Amino acid sequence: MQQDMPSLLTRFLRHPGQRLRLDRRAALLLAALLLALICLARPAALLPRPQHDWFFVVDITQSMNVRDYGEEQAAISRLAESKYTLRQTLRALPCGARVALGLFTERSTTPITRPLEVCAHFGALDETINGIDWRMAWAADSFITHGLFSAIEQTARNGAGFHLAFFTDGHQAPPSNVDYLPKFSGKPGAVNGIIVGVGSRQPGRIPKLDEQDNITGYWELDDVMRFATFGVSRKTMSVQDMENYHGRNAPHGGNPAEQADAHLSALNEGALAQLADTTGLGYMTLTKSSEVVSRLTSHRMANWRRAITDLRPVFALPALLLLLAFYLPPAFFTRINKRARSSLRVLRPHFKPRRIT
Amino acid sequence: MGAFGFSQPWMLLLLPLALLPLLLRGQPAFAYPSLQRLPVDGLSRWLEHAWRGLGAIAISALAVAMAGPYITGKSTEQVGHGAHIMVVLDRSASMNDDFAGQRSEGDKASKMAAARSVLERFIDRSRQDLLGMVTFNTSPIMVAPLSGDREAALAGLRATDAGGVGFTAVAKGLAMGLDSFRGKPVTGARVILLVSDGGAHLDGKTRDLLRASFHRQSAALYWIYLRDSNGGSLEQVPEEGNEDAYPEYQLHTYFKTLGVPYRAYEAENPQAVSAALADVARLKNLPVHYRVAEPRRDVAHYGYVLAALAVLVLLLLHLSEVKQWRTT
Amino acid sequence: MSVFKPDDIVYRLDWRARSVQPGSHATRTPGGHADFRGFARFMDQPDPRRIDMRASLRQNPRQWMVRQYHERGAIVVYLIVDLSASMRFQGVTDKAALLRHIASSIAWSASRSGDAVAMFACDQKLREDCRVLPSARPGVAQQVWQQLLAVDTAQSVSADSLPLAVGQLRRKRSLVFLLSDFHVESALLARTLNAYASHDLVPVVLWDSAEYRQLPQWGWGRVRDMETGREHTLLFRPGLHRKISEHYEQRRAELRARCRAAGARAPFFVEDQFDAQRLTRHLLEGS
Repeated sequence: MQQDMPSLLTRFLRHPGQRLRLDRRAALLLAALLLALICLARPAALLPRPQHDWFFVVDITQSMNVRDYGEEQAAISRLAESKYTLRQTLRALPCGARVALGLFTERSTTPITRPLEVCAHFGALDETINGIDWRMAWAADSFITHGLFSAIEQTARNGAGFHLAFFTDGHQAPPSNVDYLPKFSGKPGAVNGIIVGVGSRQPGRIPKLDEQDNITGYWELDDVMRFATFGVSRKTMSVQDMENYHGRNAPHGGNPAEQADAHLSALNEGALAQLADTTGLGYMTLTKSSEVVSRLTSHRMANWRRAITDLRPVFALPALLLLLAFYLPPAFFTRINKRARSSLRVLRPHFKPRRIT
Repeated sequence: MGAFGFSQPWMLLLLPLALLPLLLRGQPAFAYPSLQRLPVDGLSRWLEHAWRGLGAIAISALAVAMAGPYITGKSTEQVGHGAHIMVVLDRSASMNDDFAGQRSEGDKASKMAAARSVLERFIDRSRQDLLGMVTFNTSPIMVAPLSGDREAALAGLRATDAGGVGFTAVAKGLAMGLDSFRGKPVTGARVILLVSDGGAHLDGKTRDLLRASFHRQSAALYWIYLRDSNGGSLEQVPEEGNEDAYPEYQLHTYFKTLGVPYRAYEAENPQAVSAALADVARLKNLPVHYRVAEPRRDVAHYGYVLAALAVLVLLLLHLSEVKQWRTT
Repeated sequence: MSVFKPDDIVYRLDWRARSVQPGSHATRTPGGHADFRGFARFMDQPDPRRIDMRASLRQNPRQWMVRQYHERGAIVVYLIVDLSASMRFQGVTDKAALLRHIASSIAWSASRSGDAVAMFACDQKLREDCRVLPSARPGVAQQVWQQLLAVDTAQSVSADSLPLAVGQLRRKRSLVFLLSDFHVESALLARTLNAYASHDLVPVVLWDSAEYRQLPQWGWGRVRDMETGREHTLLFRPGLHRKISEHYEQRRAELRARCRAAGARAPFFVEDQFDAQRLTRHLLEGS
């Protein structure tokens, strides 16, 4: 009995000339190994797949300096939180995604870069977003509606299928006359995207910052415009109001209804949601940046484009299944076969799977 | 900001399958009358754990790898040669005016369009240099950081086709341009390439601040001047008492007093660009090392390596498994 | 072993059976003229043919003494057969075939020596379909063989009913052959040995050399318990071979000790092949 050579390996080692005959389960493993090795070669192909094309627009008006994110002591401004979210998104976007950047103040959105591929130009994009600063604002006013419509217009100029992500707190300064807001002329939904509401619902004071971003004071009620001065008032004026009324210089009367909290800024969710509704954009509030990142990187927000696609999962998934098949007891397959064929085979679960010869 | 993420997290749903090798029983085995008769053998037990563990490792490694794990927040060191050029591009409203230079197309193009074509040519040819871009009107905007990524600078340049607005705050633009040199080692020529029509007045305080800044960063100033139809040439000395009508001339004379190398080019003809390029090319530089934030890095490879190794060991184990109790 | 070809064995009892059937074993039944039992007074047993002169003369006061004898009787030889899953093991030999051969050989020999033979088969419960009731018919050995050949043990698991079979036996002390691999729980073994304590129990242990000696040299393999279905991995190497055979040697010693303690005969170990002469020797020596 000394010549028994039970395992294939020892048999092969002793008689290398003999063909190494693999049983079925060894073949499963070998196939899985080959597939895994193929994955190591990083197979990739140019295939159509969902790709993100984003036009990120950030509101850089002063209300975005309100620090209402994070802890009391180390509070983070709305702008900083938006930037952080954008940078996280940049990291989460798969290669092949294109990103254009724009800034919003006053009435318009200004593109600052045309679309760049995220991976190849990651450094530049990341640093540019990091460099966004409220001092880049060329005017202090903030007409959200104008800015958004302008952003929608700009989005299409970046290329077909570009999506817009508009980060704003919805703070309108000075207050605008509802009657003179522009009407949305585009087709709702023609430009897809999302308005991201930044800030908390609790009104916060708008800080005045020095060169080092230290808070030197806050905007007080006296500093800001508390009512719309433009256009004709719709309000039926009392006689008292009429006293100081002047058709051109004071069309809202001498003492028009003031906004008592015009110097405070809160996230204006209602107005933003309404804007989103009229323009066919989505709306979400930035409470946790990871939520926004996952929304911005979701497949729903993607276009189908041909891009370099990682084919490794195509090989890895069968490898995984082959491995599972390797571990599945043979009885599992016999049971399936049995259902298919007649009951030719007598099934004896867990007894005598192999005979000792 | 180092973080870990998955590009296809739903693939992680496959992860529980890794439990199957640990749980499934009934793999081919020899019938044996009674296990009570067999001694407890540590090595054998260890082998059994290894056999099952390897399967769990391979399956979970594959599942995790397929989910596309990546890490972010890394930065890599890059080396740049050539000059460090910060392009400071004017995008004020005045840049929308017609350009005075001859254009082959014959149509009336804005100064902005002219500046774009000039800069595009410039960026295209400055292969060795580090480039960055700042645009400015009333306030400056950092469009592309100083790096070897000229595509980013071009993208920023193309974004200027939205047209200009606001005033020409040359000083702020230059200041931001100079700022981007701050904190980086001086390894050679630093150039601020101002592309503007220069319609701005600088007060005395600003002039001093700018001069100090130029000296501190030891940057040279090259000005590609875009003249509009009613603007004068820089070389043309305006009449006495009429200097205020020609702010560009005043700027030119101020720049000459900066005390750093200064050159002005009038972008009327393509030669001006070539001349500017030639001047820049002459600036020899030490190689400079700088760090660039890396895009997310795919770490799935390690998963596949681990899976392949596990399967390889598993295959060897399988080949050493006894298939026949005895061969007689 | 696929044909009925029984081997001859010889056995002897070291006790007197209570038997009324004529046979070859010593019994407690008075009568006959084979086994001398002693003397009795003639007045008690007035059979003048058995008057023993010398014994009568030795008596004081003198009186007539007669010789007394025990009858030679036949007994019932019981075969208790373990049909648990582990008995289906096929190593160097097919344990079921070996069992069949040994059982039919014992039955054959018993029937030839005039004893009645009965067989009860046990798995987790007493098998109704595989039994031979006490019978002295000449064909009983064939019947044992047939029954064991025909029995379907696909559903068998354990040998739990081994102690229960004693209920089928006569009260009278009988010769009982217990054919099993004795791969049973310690508690079941104790219950079994105790149950047959009033009988003359001959444990026949069927082992296969593939279980503990003929192991793969190198490599590893997985074994599955035929009864519980539990699995175990073995990394075959000389060290493990030694360990396993030592373990089996310990078991051998343990079985011997426990049988002795329970009053049974020393177990007879069969490895791969049944040697009828060895069994005969074992039975005669042990008696």
